[in-house]
Amino acid sequence: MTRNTLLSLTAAGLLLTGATAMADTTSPQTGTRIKQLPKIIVNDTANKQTVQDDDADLSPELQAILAEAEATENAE
Amino acid sequence: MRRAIFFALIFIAISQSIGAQAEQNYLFDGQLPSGTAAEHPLWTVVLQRHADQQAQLSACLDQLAACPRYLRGWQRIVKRAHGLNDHAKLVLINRFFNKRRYVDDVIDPVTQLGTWLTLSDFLEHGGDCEDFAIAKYFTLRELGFGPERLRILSAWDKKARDYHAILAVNIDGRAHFLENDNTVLHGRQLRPYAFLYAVNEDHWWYHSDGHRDQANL
Repeated sequence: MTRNTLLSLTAAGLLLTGATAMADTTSPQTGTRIKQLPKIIVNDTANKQTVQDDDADLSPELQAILAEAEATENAE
Repeated sequence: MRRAIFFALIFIAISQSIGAQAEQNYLFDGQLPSGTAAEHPLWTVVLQRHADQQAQLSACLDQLAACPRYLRGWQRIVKRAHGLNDHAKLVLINRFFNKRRYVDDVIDPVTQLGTWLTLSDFLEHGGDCEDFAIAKYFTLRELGFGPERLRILSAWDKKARDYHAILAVNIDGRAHFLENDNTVLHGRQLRPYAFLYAVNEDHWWYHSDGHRDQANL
């Protein structure tokens, strides 16, 4: 790898980094700053809850707090 | 030749370091907002309704007897979480809310928009992903997290090929994502999401990567 090749790679890397940062605040289509909030329905059908109630992976302190909350919620 | 390889390795190391840093701080890296929170119609309704319900939430936090049944467990969680460190707070809040009831979103036939619920309404009725994120957001606000550390993130899940919303929290400059499957992810652990936009009480931020991804669907 020659020195020129190395310099070219460095320049390309810097340009790529700059382009990525700019894309966060500008429209990919027009290059102008986005003013309109995208209309998106967050429906999440593929992420429905399949969470287990088991808290055994948590610390004893967090398990105790969750158990207390559940008991308080269910108390008559 | 050896010197060229040395410089190439240095370049790769620096590039990877910049990439990792950018990924971890992606939501909280100083990007200018794209607009005010008032421009988001559903979120504006939630903010107003939450403000209207704040007196009841505060009374409940002061005294358990003032809580309706659906707020009792939440009251205990907030009271006990105050003594925890930030990461433990995230794990606890995430776990507590992920046990709540999942209810499909109701789409308005006119606006074609879904429904966003307040913390109180979600605890009473259940909700879908953005409602989980909103409830976690306002609970962390009760625990002293400033709005500048919180973002409700709308994303395209490339793996599930569906929209999703999660809460992102800044702890020590690193974005943590409170997932509905009980994980609290950060940086490179994050699932293959393309970010669409993020919102907090003050502003919203456009994220172009999700829109580029959608264009290729």
